[in-house]
Amino acid sequence: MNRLVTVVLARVGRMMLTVLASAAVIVGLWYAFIAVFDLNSLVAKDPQAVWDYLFTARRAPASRKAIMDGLWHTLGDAGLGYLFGTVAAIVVAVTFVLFRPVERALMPVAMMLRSVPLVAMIPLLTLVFGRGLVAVGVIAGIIVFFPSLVNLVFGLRSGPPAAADLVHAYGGGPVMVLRKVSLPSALPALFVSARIAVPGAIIGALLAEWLATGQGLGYYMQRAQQTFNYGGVWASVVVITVASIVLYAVVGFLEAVVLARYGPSPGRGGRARR
Amino acid sequence: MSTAAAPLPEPADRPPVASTSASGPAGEPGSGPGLGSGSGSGVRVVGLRKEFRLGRRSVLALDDVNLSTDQGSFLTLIGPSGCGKSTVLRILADLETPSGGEVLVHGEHPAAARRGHHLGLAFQDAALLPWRSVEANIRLPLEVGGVRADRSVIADLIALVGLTGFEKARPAQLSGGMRQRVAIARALVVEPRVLLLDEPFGALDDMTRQRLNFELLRIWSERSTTTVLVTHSIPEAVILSDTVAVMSARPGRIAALVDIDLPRPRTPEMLRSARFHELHDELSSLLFAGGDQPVSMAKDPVGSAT
Repeated sequence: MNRLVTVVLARVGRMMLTVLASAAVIVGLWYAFIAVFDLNSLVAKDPQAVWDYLFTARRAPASRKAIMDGLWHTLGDAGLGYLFGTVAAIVVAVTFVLFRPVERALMPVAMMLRSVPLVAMIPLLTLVFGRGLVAVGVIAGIIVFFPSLVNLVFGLRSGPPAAADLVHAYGGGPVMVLRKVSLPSALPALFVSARIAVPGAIIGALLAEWLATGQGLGYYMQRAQQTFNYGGVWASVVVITVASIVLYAVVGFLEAVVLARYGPSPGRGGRARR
Repeated sequence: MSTAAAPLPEPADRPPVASTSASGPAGEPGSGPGLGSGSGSGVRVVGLRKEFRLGRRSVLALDDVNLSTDQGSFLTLIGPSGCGKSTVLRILADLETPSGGEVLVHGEHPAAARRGHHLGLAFQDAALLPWRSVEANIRLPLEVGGVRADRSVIADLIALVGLTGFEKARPAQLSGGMRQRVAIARALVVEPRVLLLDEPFGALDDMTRQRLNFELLRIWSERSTTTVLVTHSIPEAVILSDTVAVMSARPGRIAALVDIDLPRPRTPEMLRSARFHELHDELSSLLFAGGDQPVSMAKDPVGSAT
């Protein structure tokens, strides 16, 4: 158990360092960008201005409340989208792996659909799914779905190839192969997908709020922009970015815990060294 | 069910090696190449054919393969790469369906044997699941077959393959040889009637390989399971087997059967005996005479088109 704790702490420590370093780089680039392009300070707020807007300005508490309320709403929407997208991706990936012809027929279609800009599809989606939670789940889910699908199909096939033969030879069918070999071997892929999909779900939620539901930070940012409340826009961007990074780190932490239990060096052991 | 009932495969178009081996010291009088001296109560293969379809091309991988061994015997298939020896094994394991001919293991069709959990299987790739401990990997066939077994069964097997103390280890923490030991323990956990081994030590270094050969002999003599081994290694074939079937490629056929008359139990000293070297030389001459091409050129994994 001690070794497990060490592995987890090492992974978490490395991750925290990465996050801090990226934050420093982002703030640096932000200042540099404004300086280099000599941007108008009415539109382009620097980190200091955002800090003022959120914490030191006279109306800071009210602004903070508006943004935080929006943030919680958006995170809820993003969670819903992540759930929709991931469940759909798992179901489709399993179907693809169990029935290869289905994959050959539908994977190209899936990749083509992926190339259609989501923004262009949203009016259509709202016609079909309305402007409620289902629409949010579908719109944010679509962003989650495609990268997760590709990752999961790959992950489901990443088990030792001879293991499927073994399960067959011991009297198991395709469903048994799925249970004993494919699904467990797809676990790392599920986390890789989550790291891409969680920020994707947030973007999808913002998009859905902006274009479909008129709620949450997505809508707040749009309204702030229309009312020349650029402080509000930038503060929202900062808050949602920080939330994304925190969630990314949480996923990384969960991944570290689960994969440390899963195997000392997942994806390596048990495979033939030819 | 006796070998006498099976047609003796002696067509005129046999490759040259077949005729030499029939007159050589390999076959007993009356048993042509491709039919063992066994009764067929262990493994019985009669007129086995296997064609693979590659697009519009059809490739004949096995043609008229005949084998017959007793229960509890150790048969080795040896031959150039692409001679279809693994295909024979996969057909015995019901992982491939034959295109023609009859295949029985302990009097059962492979499909029935598979469903009855009478088969044990190990490949060159140990195919251990990296997220499972040694113990849990060995338990896998039982879970798949829905068979309940005592913890002591697994503990005994771990002791049998010499891995006591590594019960909780993950595959990534084991050496290649240890992984193969786990694979063999896993093959034995269902107490199979027939053990099918496809180059189980093929990826190991010579020293580990030799040690594991003698461990396999010890395990085999304790369990007396009917065993079919596929290998590239002539010394391995000689020291382990009761009978060695030499296969030729394009298409895969049994070119000769060589009975290994080294006494049992076999010991490492026998590797230096004159008889071992005679048998070794006999097998290598059969192998290198086998087929029209040199062994090194026979690269096609399923044999050539005819």
